[in-house]
Amino acid sequence: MIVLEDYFKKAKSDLEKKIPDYGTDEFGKFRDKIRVQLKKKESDHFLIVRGLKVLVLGDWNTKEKKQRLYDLKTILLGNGIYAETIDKYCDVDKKGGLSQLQILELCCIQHQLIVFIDGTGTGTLVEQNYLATNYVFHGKILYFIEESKFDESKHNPSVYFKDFPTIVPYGTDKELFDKVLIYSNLRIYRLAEIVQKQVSSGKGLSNPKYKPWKDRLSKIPRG
Amino acid sequence: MGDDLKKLCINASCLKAIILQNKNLDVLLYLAKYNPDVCISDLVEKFGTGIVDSLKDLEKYNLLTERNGQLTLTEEGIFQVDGLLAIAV
Repeated sequence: MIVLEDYFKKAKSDLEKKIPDYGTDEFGKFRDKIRVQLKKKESDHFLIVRGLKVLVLGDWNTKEKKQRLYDLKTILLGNGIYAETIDKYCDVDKKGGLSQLQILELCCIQHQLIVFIDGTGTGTLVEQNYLATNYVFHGKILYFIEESKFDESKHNPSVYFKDFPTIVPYGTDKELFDKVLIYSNLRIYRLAEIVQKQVSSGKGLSNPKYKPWKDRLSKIPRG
Repeated sequence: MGDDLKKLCINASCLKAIILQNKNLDVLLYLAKYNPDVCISDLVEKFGTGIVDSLKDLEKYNLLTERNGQLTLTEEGIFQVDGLLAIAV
């Protein structure tokens, strides 16, 4: 089992060391350096990438599986992709309050990419059923599944994971970590580019008169 | 997804503007260095009363939280400040 140090604790501690004492010349120079870089047009893409959110979903039913979700989150965060697990929104071990379904709904809307790790179903059944039946989320789901399980679909294309259009098989845990990082990076960078183009062209999504495709399609006469 | 992206466009363009506005960058760096031992009155003393509005903006963008006058960078705040250092240092 891979156990990584908590990203936020480490990042905060590093920031305390790197940022000079307030009120010194060093602090002023440090701040000005950031300000200059931030004002550059090139920083736009960087900021958009860091503003997009990934939700890592999967089995919570064992300590190891929970740790694997945390580690996946940590790897994404350490590589400049903002990632969260569902426990940020609720105590997954505690009953009461919002239902898991309500939390899931909240999470799916707030995140631009969902990394779903296939499991035994005991810890992911609610998520799986919810996502499988809500097509609107399918475009933002990456479904990771063990290769051996994936291979079974050769003779049985009606397996449950057919509900997810983007399926990524993996062999070892190491391969899972690598693939989650690569695929998430590709998706997030692509999305950031789309957002940036829309902003700079003043067309499409940044146009105040922009109409979502759902509205446009509803006006097409059906034969 | 369309509306979702539209909101993203607005948020992304605003985040840069918010960080560059007034003393917001100073505040973020200050909190990254010294929180959780920072309260609003400390910042007012250092940056002036105008800083209260800046704090509201930063809170709106989920970069910091305030509880009983005590200020803390959120996880998103830590992530963004970490990113700012990455582009400049």
